[in-house]
Amino acid sequence: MKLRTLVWRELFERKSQMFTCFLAIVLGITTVVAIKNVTFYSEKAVAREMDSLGANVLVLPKSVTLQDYYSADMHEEVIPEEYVMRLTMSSIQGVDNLSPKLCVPVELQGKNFTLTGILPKEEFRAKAAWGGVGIFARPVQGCGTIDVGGEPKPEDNKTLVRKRVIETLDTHEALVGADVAAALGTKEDDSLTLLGEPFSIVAVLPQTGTIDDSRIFAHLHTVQRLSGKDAVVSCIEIVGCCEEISAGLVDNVNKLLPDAKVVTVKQVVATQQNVNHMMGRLSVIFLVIIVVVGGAGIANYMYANVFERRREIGTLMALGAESGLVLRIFLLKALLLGLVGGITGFVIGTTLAVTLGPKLAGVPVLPMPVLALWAVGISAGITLLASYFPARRAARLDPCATFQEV
Amino acid sequence: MSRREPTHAIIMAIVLLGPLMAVPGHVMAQAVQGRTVSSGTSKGLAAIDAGARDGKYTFLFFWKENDQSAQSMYQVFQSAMSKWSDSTYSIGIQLTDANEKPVVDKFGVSRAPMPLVLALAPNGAVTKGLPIKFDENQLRQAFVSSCTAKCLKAIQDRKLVLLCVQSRRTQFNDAAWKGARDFKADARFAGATEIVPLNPDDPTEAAFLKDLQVDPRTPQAVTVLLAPPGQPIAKFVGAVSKDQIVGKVASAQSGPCANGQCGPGGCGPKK
Repeated sequence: MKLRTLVWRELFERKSQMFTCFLAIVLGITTVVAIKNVTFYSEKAVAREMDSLGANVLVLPKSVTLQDYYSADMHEEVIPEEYVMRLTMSSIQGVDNLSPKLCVPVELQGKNFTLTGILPKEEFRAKAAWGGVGIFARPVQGCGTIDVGGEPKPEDNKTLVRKRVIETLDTHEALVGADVAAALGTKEDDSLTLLGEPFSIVAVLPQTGTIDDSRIFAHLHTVQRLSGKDAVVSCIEIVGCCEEISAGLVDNVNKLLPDAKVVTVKQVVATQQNVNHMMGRLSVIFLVIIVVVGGAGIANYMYANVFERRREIGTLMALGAESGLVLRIFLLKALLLGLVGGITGFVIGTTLAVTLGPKLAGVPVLPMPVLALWAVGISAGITLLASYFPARRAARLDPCATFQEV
Repeated sequence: MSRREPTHAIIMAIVLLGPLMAVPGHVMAQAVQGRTVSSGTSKGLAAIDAGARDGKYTFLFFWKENDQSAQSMYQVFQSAMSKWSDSTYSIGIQLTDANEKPVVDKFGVSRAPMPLVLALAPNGAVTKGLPIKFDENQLRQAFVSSCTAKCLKAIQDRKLVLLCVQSRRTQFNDAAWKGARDFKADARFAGATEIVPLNPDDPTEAAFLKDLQVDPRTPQAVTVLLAPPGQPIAKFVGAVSKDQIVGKVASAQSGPCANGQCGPGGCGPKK
């Protein structure tokens, strides 16, 4: 009888116990793979957010709490729009790039979207130079907003999602997010009716993987009028330049606008970072559980198997099978369990992460092939380790002793 | 004020008596100092026109509601204006006054924090914007030197400013001036560049030079490149060529931190 046949037959002895062990391995690997996968992309999103928005500051109504920078303006509370000019006309350094926003829900073709009113920079740019002679004394730190005049380029609108600030926007022009454009089948230069008035789509924004993809951007004052709101905004985004400036900026803005809440991106992503750390710790705990519970289960299953089948093992050895063959039979069985369990756990875990990750963590999640190696390695390692001692015991059985029991 | 008209005297009387009585809304709206000229029905625009023509500063007091804050600030405003009546025109403008819509729109202050004072130099530059709360000292800071006003005007018009600090005793005047002229003659920058000459020996410009960190006793001509919203982005001591200035403008536009794109790690080189 060939080794392969022996292993295959051995595998299906005590099927229910084998299935239970297999399930334990699969569930453990599934959980660890899913957590690792989501955590990796969540950390990546946080790092990207910190890299591109790290110096930014948000001015919000006092009562607002938020966990996601991109949805900072998605709430019912408002602050006066005059805060924009208070900031612009102040002597505070680092408030050259402001982006006030107001969000209202809109329904288009039976689908719900967010209409975001934004104020183009041209409407308040000149007021930054109303500070008088003192503006020339601002230190040049190599990272200020250098505006050398000239007409904005047409493609500048598309940089809104990256730069967070728009230079110009007419009262009935709109920019649509990638998801909105796909859902409505619209493209540039098309017309769109929002809250009863026609808008011309001047740009379809590139995909960002954030909530901005499902937004429609229009002029703040038009959105205020159409939604029946006064001169209010949901939030003011201050596009910071350097972290050093942002550090002092928060205190200064707090002093200037005591009735508003001023938060930095660091504060916003702190919750997300805590969740990521917690997920990381959770995956370690699951790993320990797999090692202890799964390993103990497999060891127990193998020991029981060896004990129950000692007569067959003894017969096999009496027929000429060497200890090495017996050892290989049990170890190969364990290896097969580990490989199949690891691969199955990776497939299920990755599927869960890719489908549920965006909903749970709010970030797009892609499969990570490197986790397959990791899953198979862990799974096979545990099964081999747990099976080694029972297999060695089987290999050391004395055929005579086993026959005496008959 | 030598050419003050009879109506002006009446208005002055209202202004001077203002602090002695409560300040009702219609008074704030109507109190105009200085002579007015016809500029449609907007008294605000008329005051600005008069200021430009007579070489005086114009102070505009914008208000929305006749509340405690507006009244108390208006008293501060009027008290200061009465002291400087020889060199200023001033007017109170209610945002909701239909006649004043042109001036409200001109400065885009319909959604500004109120009350708001805007000080305008004779050349039309806003030399100070003071929202909500201010004192006489802050109002006084609105008076700036001639060169400062020119630079502010250009900056507010989104122009680059080449401030040429030169006098008879400074060296390389011609070379520095030629560099500035050549830069302005370049088609790429012609429409958006203003050359402002400044005499470092002029004591009225000392504060401006101090802000720009330029030594008034400089032995060589200094050319300062200012960009909106008011940052000095380059300073050239001695001779300067057009290419040098273009190079500084280009690096300011495309530098690692141009347009505020640098990240939390500061302004280091980024991809």
